[in-house]
Amino acid sequence: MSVLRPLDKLPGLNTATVLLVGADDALLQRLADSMLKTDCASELRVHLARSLPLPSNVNRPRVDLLVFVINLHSKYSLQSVEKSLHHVDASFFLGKACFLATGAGRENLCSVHRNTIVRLARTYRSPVLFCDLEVEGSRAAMAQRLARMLQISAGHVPGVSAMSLLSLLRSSESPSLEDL
Amino acid sequence: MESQPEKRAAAEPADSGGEGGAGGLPQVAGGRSEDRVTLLLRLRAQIKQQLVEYKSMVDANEEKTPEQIMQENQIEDKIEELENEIEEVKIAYEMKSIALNRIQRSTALQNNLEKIDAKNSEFMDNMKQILKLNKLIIRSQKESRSLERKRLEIRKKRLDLKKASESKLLEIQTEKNKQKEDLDSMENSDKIKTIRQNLQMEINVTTVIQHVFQGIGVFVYLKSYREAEREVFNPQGDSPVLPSKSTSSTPDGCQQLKLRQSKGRSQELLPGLPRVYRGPKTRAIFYCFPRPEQRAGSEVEQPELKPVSIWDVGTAGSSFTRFVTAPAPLLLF
Repeated sequence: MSVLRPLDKLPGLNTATVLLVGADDALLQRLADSMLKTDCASELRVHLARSLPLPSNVNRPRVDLLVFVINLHSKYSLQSVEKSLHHVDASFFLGKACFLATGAGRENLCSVHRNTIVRLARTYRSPVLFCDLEVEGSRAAMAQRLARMLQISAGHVPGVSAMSLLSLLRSSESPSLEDL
Repeated sequence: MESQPEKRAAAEPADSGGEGGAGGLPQVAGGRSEDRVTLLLRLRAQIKQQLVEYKSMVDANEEKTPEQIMQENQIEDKIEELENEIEEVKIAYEMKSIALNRIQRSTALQNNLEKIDAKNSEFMDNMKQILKLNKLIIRSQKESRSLERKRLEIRKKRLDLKKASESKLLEIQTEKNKQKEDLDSMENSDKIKTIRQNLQMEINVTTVIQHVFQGIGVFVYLKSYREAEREVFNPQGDSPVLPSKSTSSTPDGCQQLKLRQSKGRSQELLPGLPRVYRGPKTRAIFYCFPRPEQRAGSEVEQPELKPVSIWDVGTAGSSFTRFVTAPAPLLLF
């Protein structure tokens, strides 16, 4: 498939699938492990990908949550994510996609400014999360957050839909951000 | 759930497919019935939610999206509009659910109020407190509303006063402008022009009359002097020469008369005549005298009179000198 669509397949029972897209394999692997360790009522499945489009020969379940992992220390990760964004269907950005920026703590290693990521997230109307995937504690917390988001996106939480979560996560627009 | 960790461990790296968790479910066989029931309930809830999601997507896709290519800013605005709509709908839903809850609770309270006697007093106290607070709220709201109304009225009055003062100032200004215009137009009116012209004419006429009177005064004065002189020069008491006769005979009699007058005048009047009478006309008269005076010596005005000798240039030395000297002062003028 050339374009990833959110609802082209039927959901699996009690299953939620998250697709992590990022250039850095090691980081993704660690995050996946952390996510699997979280305590969650539904079954979680984590898929990793370096870039989209995914090869179409593989049979895979419906993707409930799409996480774009961007390492602020490398511009290449940003570029690869931007290229992958073209292969995503627009209906994914109604709450089923989010951006994850890692490495913002160490200012001297950052080659990508965090405002770039913020602007990117604003253009796609998706939430952006900041964390440090190198640090165990931060990674674990982020994994829990992602697990909760995944449950909601998959429809496992009654009364809360992906879009309502999206409007909840929308931060109030500060004037400085408006100017960007 | 003990079987859960096993299922969770089925994580697949990098694009390896694999079947979904549907295969994991039959492994729950070892679980307790309660767990099973809760699981089933949870699954039921899940499936309901997913159904709602799919239905909403189907409904959304049925709506025709605008096909035209919109500008980016327009799209942004549209998106913001839609997001705001979502927020509003959510808020409305929240409010309605709160209202519904309140209604439900109040009915439940009503139904249970008769049953619970022991705690009656507490409930009654709570209810009384609630009623008191509500009354207070309503009263303060009324007060604030009336104050607001008063404030509004005062502002209206102020606005009216401002408008009235504005109009008055405008009136004053227009009046001033009108006055200015009137003044300006008056100066350029025709009346004043005609008046001025008349005035100028009057001035001219008066000056002419003035000159005429000056001339006449000179004429009379000279005439009187000439007669006096003639008496001096005619001791025989001949009849005074009537200048009119000679003047009537000779064509330039008037000139001769004037000549005589001028001679006498020149002797006596030159020093004596006040400067006022020495106008341009008098000067003109003086200037034309010398020429006829030359002829006067040759012509004899009074043939019947003896004093031809007086007019004779050679004999009347003193008189001649007098006459000779006469033109000079004349010429001097």
